[in-house]
Amino acid sequence: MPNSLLIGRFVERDSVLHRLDPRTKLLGMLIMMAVFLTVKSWDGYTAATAFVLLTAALSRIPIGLFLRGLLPVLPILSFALLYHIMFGRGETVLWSYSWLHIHAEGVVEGIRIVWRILLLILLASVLTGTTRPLSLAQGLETLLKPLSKLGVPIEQFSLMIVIAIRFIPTILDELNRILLAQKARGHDLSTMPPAKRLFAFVPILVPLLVTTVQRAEQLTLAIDARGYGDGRGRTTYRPLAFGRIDYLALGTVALLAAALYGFA
Amino acid sequence: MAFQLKGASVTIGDRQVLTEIDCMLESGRWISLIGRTGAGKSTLAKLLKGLVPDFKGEYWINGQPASRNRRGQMQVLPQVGFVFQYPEHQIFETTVYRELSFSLRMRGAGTEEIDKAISRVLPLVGLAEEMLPLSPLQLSGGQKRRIAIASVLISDPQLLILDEPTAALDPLSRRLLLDMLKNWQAEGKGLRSILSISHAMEDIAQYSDEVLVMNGGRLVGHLSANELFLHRSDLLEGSGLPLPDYIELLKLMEQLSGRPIQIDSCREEDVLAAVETVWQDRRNSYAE
Repeated sequence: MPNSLLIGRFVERDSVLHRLDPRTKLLGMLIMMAVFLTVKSWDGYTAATAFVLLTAALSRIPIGLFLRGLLPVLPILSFALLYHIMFGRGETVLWSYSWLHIHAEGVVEGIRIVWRILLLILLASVLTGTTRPLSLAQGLETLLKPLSKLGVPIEQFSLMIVIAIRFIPTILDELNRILLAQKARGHDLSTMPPAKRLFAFVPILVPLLVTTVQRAEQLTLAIDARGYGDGRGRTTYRPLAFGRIDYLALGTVALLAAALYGFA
Repeated sequence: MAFQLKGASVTIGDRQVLTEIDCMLESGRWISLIGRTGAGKSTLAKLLKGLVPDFKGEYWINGQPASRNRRGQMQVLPQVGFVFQYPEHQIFETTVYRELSFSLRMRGAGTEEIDKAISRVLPLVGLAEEMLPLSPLQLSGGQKRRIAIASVLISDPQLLILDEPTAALDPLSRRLLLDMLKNWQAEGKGLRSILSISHAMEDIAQYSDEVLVMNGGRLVGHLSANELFLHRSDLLEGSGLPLPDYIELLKLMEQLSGRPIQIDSCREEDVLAAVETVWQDRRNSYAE
């Protein structure tokens, strides 16, 4: 169950996208996402969809994994769609009953919003699916580096992200252990009525929080004991390097983004 | 109560974790479950508690097949208590009282029943009543563990499963905890069984009646502790497990004296007494 919480996990494949520098992918995704937010026409949507599908195909990640990653956000998407259908206002009334009036504009807006969110999620999944979490964090650190001149503690920020990513599986393991232990003590979520289940997370979240805080304290001590300091001036084992393929990819993305922006 | 597995196999993903386990846990016994890491000990223990919903084979309790739900999956068995590794990590309640009564409240027990059960279980684990209103998170590690174990004992299980109950305890706390479990078992007048996963060979030889030896997901031995430690040390070697130090001493004495030492108990005091006798004999023979 907890594994489905992870939207977009790294998938080991040999593809062009996997080989790109994480910074290229981060920048490319940010540019594209920004452009997607400005797209208004249906043609623009079609072009954006084509771009996303093309990158997804380039990643060589099975389409099933992308679809499974969408499952957890399905409730949010349905809510967004329903909200716009029910409360969107316009000139053309499609159907009405007592206080409920469904307008064509609302339906169209709902479809647009959901479409746009889907595109953004898919694009983000391509990024996380083709980039190891640690190189993603490293890419983010180098991209944000200029900010350290302004006194922003980028190294610490990046260390924090790396540790957070590293501990997701550990904490999920811990969660599973606690779920099982409380089940053995008669606290079985699967047999509880839904109303009770809402409050039934206390026996699970409290021990999880306590062990996580304890682990964090131990980790802090261990980091200090090994003389890590705050990570300033640290070099990396595998320095990031921009290759020809990265310039090519960024150039393509920039051109496509400009075209899409003008097009939309 | 007797708990019996017939041809139980468990597969997780594409890995076979348990293969064709046949075993019978009789009531009133202290049974140790040993094997190297990854031998399948924890899975077998979880299976016995009903925490593995899908497995091949049969599970019988007192000659009756264990109940399953409509989809044929195993359900958690209330008559089996399970103390997980580092049980103090599962503590979450605001007071010791609430922590101890958790499983009873889950079953819908009333205040009177809970109070009675708590006053029965507190002296067993050596905790004072003054502790009841305290937050369990303020207590020491050893006390927390005893509270966590008491919170399982409170529902009076017929089979108590413990996954490395003495891990990370100092020698004295370890002894106290094991003696406490022995007392709890003795109070049950031959009805309470203990299944303990352990790597501490001295403790196993000292406390268990029987030992289950696991290797690579199979049960390779089910025999009395005396038989295992005195005559079947090959089973331990095959599973990469050491003998207790004092049994090694016994073997050494046998080698030195050139004749087997007759002994039928693997408890430390009995073995050391036998070694002492042989030692004295040798000294006397030298003196002559």
